[in-house]
This record gives sequence, structure tokens and C-alpha cells, in this order.
Amino acid sequence: MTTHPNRALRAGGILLGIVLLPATLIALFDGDQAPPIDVMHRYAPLSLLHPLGTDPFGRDIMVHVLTGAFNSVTIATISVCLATIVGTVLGLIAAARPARAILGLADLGLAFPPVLIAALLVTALGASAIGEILAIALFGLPAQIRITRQAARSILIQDYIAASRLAGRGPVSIMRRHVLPNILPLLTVQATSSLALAILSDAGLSYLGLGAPPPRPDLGRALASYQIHIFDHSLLVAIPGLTIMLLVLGFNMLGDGLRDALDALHEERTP
Amino acid sequence: MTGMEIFRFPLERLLLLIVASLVIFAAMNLLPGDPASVMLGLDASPESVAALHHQLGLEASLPARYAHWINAFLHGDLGRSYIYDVPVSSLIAERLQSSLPLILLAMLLSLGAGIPLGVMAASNRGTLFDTGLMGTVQLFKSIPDFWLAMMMTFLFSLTLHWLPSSGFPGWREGILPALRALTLPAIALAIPQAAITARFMRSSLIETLSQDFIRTARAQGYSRSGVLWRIALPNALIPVLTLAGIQLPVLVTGTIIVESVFSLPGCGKLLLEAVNQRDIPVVQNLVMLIVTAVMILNVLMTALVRWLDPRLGTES
Amino acid sequence: MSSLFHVRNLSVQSADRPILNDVSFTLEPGKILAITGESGSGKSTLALSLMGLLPPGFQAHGSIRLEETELLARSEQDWCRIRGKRLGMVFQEPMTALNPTRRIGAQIADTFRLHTTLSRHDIRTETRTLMEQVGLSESGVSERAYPHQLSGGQRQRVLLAMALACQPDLLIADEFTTALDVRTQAAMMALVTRRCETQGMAVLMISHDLGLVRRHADHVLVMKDGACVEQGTTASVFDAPQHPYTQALLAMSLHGASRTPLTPLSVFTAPS
Repeated sequence: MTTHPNRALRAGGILLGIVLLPATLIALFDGDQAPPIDVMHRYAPLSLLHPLGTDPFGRDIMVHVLTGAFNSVTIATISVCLATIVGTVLGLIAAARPARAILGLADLGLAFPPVLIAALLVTALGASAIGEILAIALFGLPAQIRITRQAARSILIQDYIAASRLAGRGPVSIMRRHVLPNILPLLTVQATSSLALAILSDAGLSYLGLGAPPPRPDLGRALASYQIHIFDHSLLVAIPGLTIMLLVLGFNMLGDGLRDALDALHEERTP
Repeated sequence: MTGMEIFRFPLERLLLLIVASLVIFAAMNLLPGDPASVMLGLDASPESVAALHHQLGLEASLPARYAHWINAFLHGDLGRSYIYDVPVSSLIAERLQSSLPLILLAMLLSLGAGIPLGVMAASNRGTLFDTGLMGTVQLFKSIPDFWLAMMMTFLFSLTLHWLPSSGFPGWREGILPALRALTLPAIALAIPQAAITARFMRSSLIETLSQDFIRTARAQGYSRSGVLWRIALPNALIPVLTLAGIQLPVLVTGTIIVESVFSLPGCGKLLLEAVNQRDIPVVQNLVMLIVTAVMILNVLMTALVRWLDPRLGTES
Repeated sequence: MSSLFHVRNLSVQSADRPILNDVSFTLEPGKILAITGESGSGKSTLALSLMGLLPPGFQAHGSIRLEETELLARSEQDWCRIRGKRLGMVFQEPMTALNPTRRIGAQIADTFRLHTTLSRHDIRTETRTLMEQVGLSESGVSERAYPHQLSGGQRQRVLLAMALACQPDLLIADEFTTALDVRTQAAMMALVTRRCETQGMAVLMISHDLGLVRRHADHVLVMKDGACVEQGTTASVFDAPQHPYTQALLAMSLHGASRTPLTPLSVFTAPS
């Protein structure tokens, strides 16, 4: 879309802020566990004490969902960091030398959507946060490898790299001094967009029971447990879903905004 | 196109498939605890573990077990479900009755809606329709498909009573009830993909319309709509087909989730049940089957794109 | 008046910026008019406006007449019947001007399909004949070839075949030999001039190559900043240029060809 880059950036920031700011505050003060079960106050209506009411277990919906959002974003962030670091290293290696094996590995991700990886891991090891992180990271890895490789290659063909090589700089040093700083902005944009996908993956996996196990609340699991109440308490289903949407939309717009800003910067540098 | 080039890609994919089978086998057989005790749980008696050990053929060495598995898989023998005590192949065959039509329907809907919408946006570029559509696309890209599925159930089944909210009557009851049961799941599955397709179709068509050969065709006497439909669209569709190939594994994931929302007795549901019950033969063979299907479709899709775009395949 | 093509006070604007200013000329059947001038002088915009293919946001005023028909006020539908049939156009970029995913035979046949009622079989025959005429068949190019399998010169021949298929009254050639080597250039020009002599086709040739212009054109029109600074017969413009700009242009090309210039030439940079 041809919106002003700053507008997409700002909109993304605001959307994320709406969810993440209170979520972080709650996680800081109340911890990342689910709010206490209170059978005396099930299905409480909206009130000052419970701004969005309570769920079938008497838990405060807002606190529950925001804690879930905090946990989802944490898992998504760790997965994306993992995929970015490993993917960047592999991508740089694949850029420096013909490495069909690495590219083949990248293609493997094409056949293994996160659900299948998670299904294998959960069958063998049982549900765990680490398994879920691995599944999401493995799925994001191929794109990361390809993008890094392509970006690094466009730097490696520049004249100053050849000059640097003639001056006796080794390949690792060239990557660290010349390539990495140049592709870092692109990697940041990519990571931001990956976060959106990772949150969607996390929500899907935990909805299916293939994600991180209880007791830590999670948006996907919250939706799964509230699903039967869709007709009598539809707000229960609407709120976690809307929260996921806000997060994904926020990271998508942030990514788009960053990309546009980056493009604008490039155009300024190369008139 | 050289003879080597045609075979190289499928060969690479075959190699990849072998690696995938090793990954699946390793995950099921090498991770802590042997399959028998994983399947029976912690408080199983040593006798029953030993019995299952024998039933699964776990006495053999790992390479022998791998070879045995692959050999059987290639011959259509997908092992025996530990929970249901029936051949896995018959379980899958039964479940495919709803899964396969669901994926096909979703793919058709996604392309059938995404392509025309993208074309309309591109040919009305900059209008309210275009900006509105692209905004909607951004929104639908951000909605989790299973939540969309729930919301649609709420609206179309529980409130409007148009379509059934869950379950699958099977094809024996007639085509119409079965299709009605699959409609909502397929739409829920297709919407996010249609959004991505529309966006991609739009940018691909805009890019194609700015090419020099479009001007050549116009100078030849093609009308504005003639050049759009007969010249630009066929060219712009090629990358969209490539995208469709990439969307396929995503659709598989979506199917597993959507089947869960709508309680459809499909392969996704089967996989989840098997995971929860530690039914290793089912998990191992079903995952392998899905991966194989995705790979084969990927090879076919690539072949189709290469056939449509004569430039590919000559220079790499 | 038996003249074929009349352009009177043609002006083109984009937003409020004038691109072409009051250009007028006349073309007789069988004659070649060359339009020359530096990059950005509006030559290509002129060519596009004559084909009714100005990009969106461009507006043309004045008069363009093909025999007795006024073209400027025509509907899009009418234009489609004129383009390719009565007006043919060849473009500069042979590498990108052909559709990469269709066979060249089909692309040439399109011109017949759009403007004639010939049967499929007849179109095939006509296409083959045309490919022979433009010298594609002799270099072994099959109608089943794709553009990427051809050389630049062969692609330009395909484009020429597409433009000449319906025997247009006027061929507009926008720098169409610029990307070719000298030998291929001569062969292409020979093809075009033969059509002029045998069928009375008129040619509007846009080129910054003054040598080429002098060899082939009957009339020359010199453009600068979107306006015509001088026009006349090739002999009169080349032998006795009136306008200082034309004089500078000629001086540059003559001296530029004979010795290496010390300073970059501002007039003849890359073609637009």
C-alpha cells in the first residue's frame, strides 16, 4: 500500500502498544501465570473490578487474555530470534560459498509446516514450550536463510569487497565488518514481519494443544477452552481473537512501515 | 531446455523427501524413551512393554527398521494403528473423504476469489475500491483462521442457521449435505489465502502492465481490455501459480486447525488424536504421507510454471 | 492535396507541464520523415501521441489527420481499428518489447487476427510469408521460437513483421535501429525503404543518428525542448541549416565522428 511510511509505523506502534503495554505491566506485577480461579464469580458482567467480566472459571478475562498475549509474544519473540540468528549464519555461509546442502535444508521447511514438526515433537516428548519454539523457528528458518543469502550476495559483488579481500581480510572478517552491518536493517524488517507469522503459528499450535502446556495462559488455548461458550458468552471468544488480530496487524504494519522507511532511506542515498 | 535440467528438480525433491523421512523416523525412534513405553505411558508393566516391543518389531536394528518402514510405505502398507488396531491406510483413506475435498475446495475458493479481486484492484488502481480492498486484505491476513472459523460459525450457523456448524455426514448421504458441511470450513480456510493471493495478483498485474510488450500489443491494435485479458493476465498469473504452490503446506496446516474447529472427521483430526494417544504408527506414516503429497504437488506446480514460462529452465 | 498524414499545432501537456509545443508537419505517401533532436526533446512523446498511446495524465491538443480522418478526437474503439492496421509502430527496446511467454509466430499472427477476417490457416501462411520477407526464415528462425531464443536483431525483425503485417499507410519507428550493429541496421532500413517504394508506405523515423537520417530520410524535422526548430528536405537542412541549434547539432555529429571528443557531448547522450 502506498500509505506514508510514518503512518504505517505509527499505526503499528499504537496497535501493539494497546495490547503490549498493559500486558507487560500485568506480567511485571502479577507474573505470567493465569489469574486465580474464583468459582463464586463466574461469568461476572463488565464492571470496574473486571473491565471485561470474568470467564467460566471466575478469572478476570482482561487479565487472563493480556497475560496470554504476553506469553504468546514471548514465545514468538524467542522463536524469531532463534530463526534469525541461525538463519543469518547459514544464509551468510550459503552466500559466501556454493552450499547446496544449506539451500536444500531451507527447502525442507517447505514440506514441514509448524503443525507437523510440533506433532512429531509432541508425540515423542510431550507438549513443551521448547518444542513449540523449535517448531515455529524451524518453519521460519528457510525464508530467513534465503533472504540473508540474497542480501549478502548483493553486497559481496560490490567493488569494495574485492578491494577488502585484496587487502588481506578473511571471509569471516568481511562478513562481520562489511556485510552484516549492511544487511542488518533488512534483517530487522524481516524479523518484525516474522513476528506476525510466529504469533499466528503460536495461536494455532496452542489452540490444537500442540503448544506450550498449562498452567501459563496462552491466547490459542484460551480460545480453545472458551469455544463452547460461543453462543451464550460470545465476548469470551471475541476478545482473545481480537487480541491476536491486533498483535498480528500491529507487527505486520510495523514491518511494512519499517520497509518503506528503509526504501526511502535507500533512495535518498542513491539518487 | 536441456534434458538434465528437467530431471534435476524432481531429483532434488526426491533427495529432500528422503531427508524428510529420516527426520520423521529419527523423531519417532531416537528421542528419549523407546516407542513402546512412550505409547503405553509411564505406569505400564514391563510385560506389556515387551509385548508391544515385539509387535512393533523394535528388536531389529535402527537401519533395518528404517528400511522396513520405507519399503512397506512404498508398497502402500502404512502399518497398524496401535489404538484402533486397524491398518493405518484404511484409517487415512476413510478420513481423506472429507480432508481432500476440503483442501481442494479451499484452494479453488482462494484462487477463485483472490485472482479476480486482484485483477479488479489492479485495473482500478488508486480508486476507493482498490484502497478498500487492500485494507481488507491486510486485515484478513492478520486474522487467525481458526478464530475466523469460529466467528463464521457464530454468524452463519448459530445466528442465521444457513449452514451446519460442525460434523460431516459423509458422502453416502448424498453430495449436497456433504458439500454443505464443508462449505464453512472451506471458506474459513480460503479467506486468508485469498487475501494473500489478491494482493499478490494485484502487484503482479500492475508490474506486468508496465512492461514494454504491453505497449507493443497496444500498438498492434489490442484494446485496453484485450491487452489486459489476453496479454497481461496470462503473464501475471505465472508468479501467482508459484505462490499457490508455496501456499499448499500452509493450507495443510490450516486444514488440521479448521477440522478441529468444525469437528470434521478428517486427516487433521486423525493426526491430533494420534498425537494425543501417542499412536506412533499413525503419526509417523500420516506425517510422511502429508510431506510426500506436498512434495509431489510442489514438483507438479513447478513443472506447470516452467511449462508456462519458457524462459525458465533454459537459464537458471 | 494528396498528402497522407497531417499534423497541425500538436501540443501535449502532462499536468501543467508542456511536453510538446505546436508541432506541425505533413507526410506524403512513400516518403520518409526523420525527427531528430537531443534526448528529452519530446521525440518519443510525439510518436506515442500519433499512435494515441500517451500515458495516463498526458493531454494532446491540435490536429492529427490521416487522409480525411481526424484522429485526435477518436474514440478508443476507433483507435484500436487504426493502430496496427493503418498505423504501425516499432519500438526501440528489442529485448523487452516482445511478450516473453508467447511464440513469435503467434505474436506476429496477432496483427492479422485483430484486423482481418482471414482463416487460421491463411493467417499461418501469411505469417510465414511475412517472416520470410523480413529475413527471419533465412536465418533459420522458426515461428515456434520464443523471444529469448533470438538475437536482438532477430527480435527487431519480429517487431517489424508485427508492424508491417497489415500493410500500414504509415510506419512510426522510434529509434528502432539504435540497439543494433551497423550491418543489421542497414538490412532493416533496406526492408523499410523497399516497402516505401513498392507499397507507398510512409515512414516517420525517430532517430538521433544523423548519418542514418541523412542516408534515408526525404525530410527532416529538428526538435528542441518539445518544439520544432527547423524542418525541410534532408538536403536543405543538412547543407544549409538555418537555426543555430541545427548548426550546432550538425557540427557536433560531424566532428564527433571524426575525432574523440575531449568533453562529454551534451547533445548526444543516451537515447531517450
